[in-house]
Amino acid sequence: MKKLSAKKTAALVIGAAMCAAGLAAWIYQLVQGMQVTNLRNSFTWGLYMGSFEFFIAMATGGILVFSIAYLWNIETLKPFVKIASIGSLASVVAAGVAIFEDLGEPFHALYMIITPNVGSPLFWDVVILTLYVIVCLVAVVLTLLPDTKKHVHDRGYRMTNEENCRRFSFIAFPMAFLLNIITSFMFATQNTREWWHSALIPVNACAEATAVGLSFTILLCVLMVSHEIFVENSDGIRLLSRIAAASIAAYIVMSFIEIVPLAWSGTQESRHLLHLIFHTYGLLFWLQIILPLLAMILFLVGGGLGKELVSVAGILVIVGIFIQRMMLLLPAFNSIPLTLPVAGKLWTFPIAVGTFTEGEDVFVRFWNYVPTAVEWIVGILPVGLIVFVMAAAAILFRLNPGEE
Amino acid sequence: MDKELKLTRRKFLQVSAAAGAVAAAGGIELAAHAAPDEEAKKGELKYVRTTCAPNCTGGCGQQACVYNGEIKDIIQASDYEDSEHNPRGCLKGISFSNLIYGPNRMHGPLKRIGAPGEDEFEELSWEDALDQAAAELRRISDTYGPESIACVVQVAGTGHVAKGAISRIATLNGWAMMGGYEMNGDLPMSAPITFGVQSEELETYCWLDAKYIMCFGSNPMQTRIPDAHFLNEARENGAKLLVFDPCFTATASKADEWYSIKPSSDAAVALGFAKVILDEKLYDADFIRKFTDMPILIRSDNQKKLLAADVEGLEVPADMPEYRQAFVAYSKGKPVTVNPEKFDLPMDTQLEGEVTIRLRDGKSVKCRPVFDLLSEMASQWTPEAVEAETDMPASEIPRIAREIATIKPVHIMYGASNYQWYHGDLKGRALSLLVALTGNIGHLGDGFSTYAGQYKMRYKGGAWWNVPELPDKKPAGTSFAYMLDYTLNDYAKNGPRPTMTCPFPKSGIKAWILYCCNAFDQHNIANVLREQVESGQLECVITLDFQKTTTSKYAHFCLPGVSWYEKTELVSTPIHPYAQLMQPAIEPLYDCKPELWIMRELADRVNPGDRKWFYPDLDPDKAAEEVIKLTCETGGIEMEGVTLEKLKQGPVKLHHENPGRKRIPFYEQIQGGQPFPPVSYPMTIDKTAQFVKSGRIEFYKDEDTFIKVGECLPVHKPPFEETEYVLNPAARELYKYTYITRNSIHRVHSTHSNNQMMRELQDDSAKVYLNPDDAAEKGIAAGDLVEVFNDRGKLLAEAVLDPGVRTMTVIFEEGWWSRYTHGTSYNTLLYPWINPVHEVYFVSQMWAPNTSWNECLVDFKKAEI
Amino acid sequence: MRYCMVIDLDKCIGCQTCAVICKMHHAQPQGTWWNRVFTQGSDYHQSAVGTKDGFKIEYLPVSCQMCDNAPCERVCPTGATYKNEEGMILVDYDRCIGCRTCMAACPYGVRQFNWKDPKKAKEEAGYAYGYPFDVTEKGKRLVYTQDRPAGVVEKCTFCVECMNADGTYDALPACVRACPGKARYFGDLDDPNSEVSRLVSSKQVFRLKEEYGTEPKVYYISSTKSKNVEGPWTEQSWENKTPNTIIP
Ligand SMILES: Nc1nc2c(c(=O)[nH]1)N[C@H]1C(S)=C(S)[C@@H](COP(=O)(O)OP(=O)(O)OC[C@H]3O[C@@H](n4cnc5c(=O)[nH]c(N)nc54)[C@H](O)[C@@H]3O)O[C@H]1N2
Ligand SMILES: Nc1nc2c(c(=O)[nH]1)N[C@H]1C(S)=C(S)[C@@H](COP(=O)(O)OP(=O)(O)OC[C@H]3O[C@@H](n4cnc5c(=O)[nH]c(N)nc54)[C@H](O)[C@@H]3O)O[C@H]1N2
Ligand code: SF4
Ligand code: SF4
Ligand code: SF4
Ligand code: SF4
Ligand code: SF4
Ligand SMILES: [Mo]
Repeated sequence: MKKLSAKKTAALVIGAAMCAAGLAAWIYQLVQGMQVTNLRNSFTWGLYMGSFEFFIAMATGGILVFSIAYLWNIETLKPFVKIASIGSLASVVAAGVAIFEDLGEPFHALYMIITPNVGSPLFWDVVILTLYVIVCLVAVVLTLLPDTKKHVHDRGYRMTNEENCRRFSFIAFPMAFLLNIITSFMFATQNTREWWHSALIPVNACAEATAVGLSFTILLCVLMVSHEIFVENSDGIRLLSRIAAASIAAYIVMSFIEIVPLAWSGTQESRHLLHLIFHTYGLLFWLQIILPLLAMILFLVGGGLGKELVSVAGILVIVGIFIQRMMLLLPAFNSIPLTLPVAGKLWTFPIAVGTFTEGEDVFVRFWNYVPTAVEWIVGILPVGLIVFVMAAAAILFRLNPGEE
Repeated sequence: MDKELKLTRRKFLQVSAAAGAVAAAGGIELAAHAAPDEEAKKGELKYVRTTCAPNCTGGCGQQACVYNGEIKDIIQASDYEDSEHNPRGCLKGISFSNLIYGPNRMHGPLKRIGAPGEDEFEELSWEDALDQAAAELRRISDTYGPESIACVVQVAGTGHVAKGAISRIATLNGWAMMGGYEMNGDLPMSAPITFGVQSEELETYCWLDAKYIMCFGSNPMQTRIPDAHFLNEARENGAKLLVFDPCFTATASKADEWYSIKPSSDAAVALGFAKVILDEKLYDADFIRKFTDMPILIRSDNQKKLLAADVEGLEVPADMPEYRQAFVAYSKGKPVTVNPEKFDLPMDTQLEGEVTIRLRDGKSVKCRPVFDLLSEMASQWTPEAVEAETDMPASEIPRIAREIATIKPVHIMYGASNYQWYHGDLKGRALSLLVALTGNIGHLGDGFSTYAGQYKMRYKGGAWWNVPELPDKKPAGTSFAYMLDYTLNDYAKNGPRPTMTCPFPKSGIKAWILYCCNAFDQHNIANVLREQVESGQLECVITLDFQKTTTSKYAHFCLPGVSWYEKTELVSTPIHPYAQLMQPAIEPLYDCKPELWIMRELADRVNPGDRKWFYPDLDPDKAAEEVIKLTCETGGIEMEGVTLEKLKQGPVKLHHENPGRKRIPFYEQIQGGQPFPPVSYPMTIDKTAQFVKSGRIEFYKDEDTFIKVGECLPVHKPPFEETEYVLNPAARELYKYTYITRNSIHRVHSTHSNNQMMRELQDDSAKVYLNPDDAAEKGIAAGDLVEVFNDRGKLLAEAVLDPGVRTMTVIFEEGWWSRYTHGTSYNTLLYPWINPVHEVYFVSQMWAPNTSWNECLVDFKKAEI
Repeated sequence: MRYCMVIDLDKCIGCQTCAVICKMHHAQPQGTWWNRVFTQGSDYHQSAVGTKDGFKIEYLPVSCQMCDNAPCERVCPTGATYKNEEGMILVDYDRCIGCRTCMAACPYGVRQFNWKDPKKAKEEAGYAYGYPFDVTEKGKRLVYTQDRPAGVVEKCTFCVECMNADGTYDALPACVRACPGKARYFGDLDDPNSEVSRLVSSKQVFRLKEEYGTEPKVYYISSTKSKNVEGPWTEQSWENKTPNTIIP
């Protein structure tokens, strides 16, 4: 026990340190302006928006586990719901932080409430995000309630609580998908960006979210659930692995389906986009496919076999989907919509970057976006938050049944 | 809303007449939404009309919006009486405040203490700076003679007050004035040779009146931005626009036809057209007889024009001025005197055939009219011969020639870049031939125009530029070409060029006072100039620049003047017909001073008491007003009706003598019967009439040098044969690329090199334009850093692959401060060729050795870094 | 009242004066351009497009197209970007949270973000320029101020500072007044007698990227000089030549 809590404390300290570093960098960004990022007028969203999208997907997992466990009454999942719900809560808060990091004027954010534009997908995204935080909170409370001193040995109470959980799952389950659907509307509604303007995007977002959310939850379980319970409930983990694997398969299929019309249309714009996807960012494109694909295989063959294999698979999915989230942005911003066909060429109208560096182009057709050090550090804040929340939860609550 | 605020805002926006077009009827109410905030109420808003007057010589009227003593915004004044000229201005003029307040702005007098070119200066008070500079100048004057101190003022018309003040100090002390016109290569030598004038051109609104416009190596879409619209509108009016340029330029893109001719082959193209016109007898014989020297007989024995005084039985007109010559033509079987003061030759004067004339000394001589010689010379330029020499498609030549001869009015535009060649004069002469043969001179919308920076003085300035009260005092004259030649050809050892007619100090130029000139970037072989400072040949360089340019870093003293928003000045440029004021919008910044003040103080220290010649009791702006009054009063006919009071109201149109709203070049000659040339200010007629002694448009020059080099007639001579290949025969193999330096929309020469906004528009780097095939051969991709080089130096710039660039040509848009080309200077590649024809006379800014920027061969490669 | 702009590409000489006056007049900091002019098809402004068989140089000035169906307005979560009664799309700097969704949505690349404090940026470059007064529409919405807060989005306003409450203009937009090519026109599209309406109906006009359904209110008069130059099909070099560096 001592040893374990030392680990927990260490995690807590690391999480806190990450938060502190991220916060400091964020303050620096607020003071210096967003020039400290490598974002510019032609490439307006990067690491922060990518992470936001990513954490949203991660946040899906816990609630899914929670609702699956209670909707279908799967006992081998129930030991994991606490950790899963807290994981979702931490992720959705991280997503909120990430989106805030991306705001140029976060201090004006109140206008989202005072003068909302109800036609704006971003507005609805904030609404759903807020609701989802509540969903996560409720799930966390519901899963933790039976552990309170008073109810710890009260079987009857536990039963009603389970029923509440089941009822709540009817709300939580669709919310998990709604979160992803609405978030992806921010992209899918943009008819001026070919890479985003697709009805498949929200569907695919759900598949990706299921895959990465479940992988994340599995990883949390590997890290936080005691060995015995993990082994005892390996059926649950196997189930999650299978769902994740199926989602990955759907995701990969959909990813290629997206490519087909693009390649088919054969316009210069789409050729440009394909050039970006397969040439400029080819490596990333294949990584976002291959890593989850490998994970899928591992999940299928190694589902219940052991912590190591599922961990590796989980990490592969997390990395793959993170890359995928960045790939949503990279080709999109570098295929500038204002193009003209001139003399057999597709010509892009250059965009003013918004800052001036001696000796460098002010007007660009391409922006080689790589996050700056500051951006990475700011980007660590939400990750730190997740680590911190999980460690704190591990210290504060009894996450493993039977744990004193 | 309170009325004052309303006015304030509208004043800032400068409600022009044009605004009425959108403002609905029923008055304009300032609404709450447009209320200036509290702070604005406190601010003081001023609105000043001044004139942008750099060396593009656009002379555009600008309105400066001054808020709390700082210029916030500049926009075209758009207040010209001839509304076609509104709005005059360009991207540089309206962002000029970047220079006024920019990081390279001078703060006060400096004395260089570091090595030349290093940015190490000592800050001095004006007292000390002026004392020390004056002491240096006195010492140099005492040691080497006053003529070893040379002053460059550049672009006379863009600032009569300050430039006159410098001329005045030079006059008082016998220093030399060095002509900026030829130094810049902007002197179109064909103009004095052919027409006896410094230059002549249509004011740009007359472009609208032409029906056939041929543009030879002029790029008005970039180099005459405020006037470019007239070309587009001329086309809308049905005019045809033809562009002849090795490269496809912005102007070519607006043309009906564009021909990529070989560099410096224009004369052959012109002669090809001329041949068709001659062969098909499409020329205007009456015009030729009346106004040109084509009927004049040329002696076959000495190739000179036959003098009436030498011919038996011919009278020389009585009281013919000394600068004239009476020549001979042949009519009705006998020689007739050609009166140089009258266009009265009989209309049947013979143009062709050989005649034998009996001379006074009893001998006879065979003679042929100039026309006959011309026809013979042109006859070699068959369309096929022209195509072979120039790449002008043979099939197009007869058609175009016929159009030139049948459509009227024809206007030929001859760009500076095109005459900045060793044989630029020949090209201009050959092109002038086309309008002369077809009678396209002296009417609205026709003629042969030379477009450079227009330096022409539009009225007499002598009352201020000289010191009429002291008629003995004169500035010395000298020429920039010899300043370089002095070092290159080691005059100290070898003595000056035998053909030199220009006065030049024995020990060379020792002190150099520069105003409106950044010579150490902009001028020919800037490296030789730099070496002259390093070696001590140049002992004292003084610049009045308001910015810290490359020149400032080589100067011994920087005595900073001010920009055109900080002083009172008088401006006029020939491109549009107005006299305008510069008026101070703001106080001189920091410790800078109006140049008039600087000259007054310097003069008094060089020669105590001389202050009195510079309105000693008045502050500089008031003194400037006195100068302007004086100039208005003494400026001659062009200044009729122009007064300081009127100028303060806005631009005042200059007077011209011909009927109608627009001035017509050579109207007095062609329609008024006055002999050539008209006067070229500031010269008196006796100085320039000697160029065209016949009083006519001359296509035959018989001065010895012309005979010697075989250029009596406007022949075609290919480039490089007498220059690069003589200097280094190996150049034929080593350096095959022609290096053409043209002007950029983003700079006025080197002015605006450092303009933040212009830098942004150019991705903050100097560019060299290459043909993609040439570049590919050298493995150069777009954006690569390229080294352009020859024996004399190198240039580093980023490659732009432009298929419009002619192969075997390297284009650089001149005007970058060295610091923007990685420390290299694009002018180190050149050589100061001196064409002996340009030495026949020396009349500063009229007939003088002219710089040929484009007569330069280079190679290039990917730069190693 | 529906204001619109017409730009005659035959007359445009590519001088970029409109871009510079807009920048000066509206106090745009370094690197920010509400209005840009480039040469269609060319890698570098005013270099030719085509081959020996036919070259052309044709410009395209682009500022906010004042879309009637403006995607930027639709996506803006706070309503900072809005359409006023005169059909102009404006940004209220007080409400903008700097989420940059509008920038992703605008197909014309005209929206500019304040990556650093514009006041500081201008001071670094030299001094503070531009129209010095605030402009608030309907007494509330701050649509122009000399120094925008860092972190908000800005763009062409059709020179709203020249407009009165009744929608009339005191002076034409700066770029129209300054254009030496006399290529720009401004006026009310709803008024059939306005010059812009006349031009739009009588000349061959086009709008940019109509396929996006944005309904722009900037019309271009096609260049009559535009030869149909055929180049050999070459892949455009999409990547920048100069590497981007990261500004700390
Ligand atoms: N924006 C701007 N405007 C300016 C200036 C400036 O610095 N900036 N400077 C002003 C001054 S002082 C001057 S002198 C003028 C110069 O004005 P221009 O003479 O119009 O200018 P350039 O740009 O030097 O060259 C014009 C063209 O000449 C072509 N050319 C070169 N050699 C030949 C040749 O042998 N034959 C033919 N047919 N064409 C040739 C070049 O390819 C180029 O396209 O511009 C004035 N206007
Ligand atoms: N290779 C090559 N070289 C060329 C050319 C070329 O085509 N090729 N073109 C040549 C031509 S045509 C010309 S005209 C020359 C021009 O060359 P320059 O005459 O040297 O012109 P600028 O570079 O504009 O330098 C003018 C300087 O005067 C300063 N100045 C201007 N007005 C004022 C004022 O009112 N007060 C004070 N105190 N300072 C002022 C400006 O700050 C600027 O630094 O360049 C020539 N150089
Ligand atoms: S730089 Fe020349 S063209 Fe431009 S505004 Fe000034 S004078 Fe006019
Ligand atoms: S100012 Fe006028 S001519 Fe110049 S680029 Fe703009 S629209 Fe074209
Ligand atoms: S950046 Fe500002 S204007 Fe743009 S969508 Fe966000 S809040 Fe609206
Ligand atoms: S051009 Fe862009 S910024 Fe302007 S209204 Fe259209 S979408 Fe909005
Ligand atoms: S209308 Fe005004 S704000 Fe818009 S581009 Fe023109 S000058 Fe700029
Ligand atoms: Mo010039």
